[in-house]
Amino acid sequence: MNELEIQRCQQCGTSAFPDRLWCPGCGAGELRHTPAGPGRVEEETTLRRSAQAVRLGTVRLDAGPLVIARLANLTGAGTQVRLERTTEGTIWARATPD
Amino acid sequence: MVSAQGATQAVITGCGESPYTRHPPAGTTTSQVLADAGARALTRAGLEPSALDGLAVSSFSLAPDHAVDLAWRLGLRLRWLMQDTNGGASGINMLQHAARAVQAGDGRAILVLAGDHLPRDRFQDLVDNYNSATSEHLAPLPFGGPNSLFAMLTQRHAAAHGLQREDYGALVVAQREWAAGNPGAAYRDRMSLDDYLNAPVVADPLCVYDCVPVVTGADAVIVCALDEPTNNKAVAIRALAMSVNPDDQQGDGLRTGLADVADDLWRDAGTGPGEIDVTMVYDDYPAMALVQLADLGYVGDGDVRALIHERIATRQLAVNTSGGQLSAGQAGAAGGLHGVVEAVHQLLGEAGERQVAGAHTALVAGYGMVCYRYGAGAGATILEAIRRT
Repeated sequence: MNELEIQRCQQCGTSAFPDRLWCPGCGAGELRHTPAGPGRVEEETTLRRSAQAVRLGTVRLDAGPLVIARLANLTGAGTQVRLERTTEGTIWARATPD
Repeated sequence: MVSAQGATQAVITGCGESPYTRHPPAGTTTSQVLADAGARALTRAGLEPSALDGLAVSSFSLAPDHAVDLAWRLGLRLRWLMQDTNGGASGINMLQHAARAVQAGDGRAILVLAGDHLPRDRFQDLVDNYNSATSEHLAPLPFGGPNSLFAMLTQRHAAAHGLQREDYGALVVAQREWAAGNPGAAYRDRMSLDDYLNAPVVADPLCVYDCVPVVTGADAVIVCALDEPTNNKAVAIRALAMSVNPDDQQGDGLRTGLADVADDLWRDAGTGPGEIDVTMVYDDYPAMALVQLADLGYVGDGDVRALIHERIATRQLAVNTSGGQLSAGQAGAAGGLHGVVEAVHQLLGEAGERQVAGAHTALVAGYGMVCYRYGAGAGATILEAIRRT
């Protein structure tokens, strides 16, 4: 389990997720991966029609990008989180102390 | 302007829809339903296949065939060919290209098709592999398709406008009332607000009636030069505009690119939302229908609740008169052309039980292609019934 990576523009500092080809801020092509850092859950929903209820949320990273993530226990709208990605590719939002 | 001075005017002379069905017979193929819709449109337009010299198609399930294979299997001799991949925005996008082709003289009679046959496994594959961002970041969650994304968008919309489930329900019930008059709709039984409120939840706050039923089907429109000899009734394309990726998917999704092109649309058509007789907006979810109406200037004072209860539910504003995709069904990429077909039926006076008396002008909006969090493509057209001499 590793921290999710986002892109950061080497020209203007704009962050992006998912990966872009040109920077959405300045159009430069030099985007490097960097840890996503902390964020906060803005909304959450629960998929009710799957075998087990799946809680998902929209996470706004302090760096700017919005990420759709699976919500771990103790997380929900308003909580501070960090994002991890499993080897299968699932992005989890886990609570961090305020 | 849609018609530059001296250019040939492009008009729509016919349209058709293959019956939308939730349970197609074994052996049904995408090509078959596309051909069926095309044949219906040709009949309506009074044209033989040999009159066609252009073909446009949008479908998620045509592969391994392409537009050229469809042309071959339909036996068409063409000078103009287009394949579109823009889902809910494809109908307006193809109409834009087809109209320009006719104006420029590259084609004189163009068949525009959209449709899909997506059995459960193919539908799941389409949803999980819609684009690279989806297959890499959403499918592994799992995310349950666009329902989860639009559930969260609907929460933002409800908070922004102070709406409750009852308000969205009133829109859904109003569309179902229209569907009762549409023999081609997947859901035609009348529905009460209680039916809506008590339906199983799919992804909070969306219930099953907030999500389009997946159907097999296809839609077709014929775009012709005004002087092409077909029926004397036709529909003129007064204005048309598209918008792609207005905000890099970094907004709240409560404003589509239609907001950026609305002023141009109304100016080009020389009219305004108050002058439109029938309005078809892309209703993949109730909130998105309301967002498009707001973007296009139908909510002057910003009171979305009043729009729903005082204008849409009362039919003062005729919105999605086929029942929309929420009741008629979503036949994959056909959803992008469904509103155009319904508008043309209304303007040509072919809408049967659901005919809006004296319908003379229409607005149709398309919306689609979720890149990550919401649709990145949108377009709209303003249509007007004309009588050719």
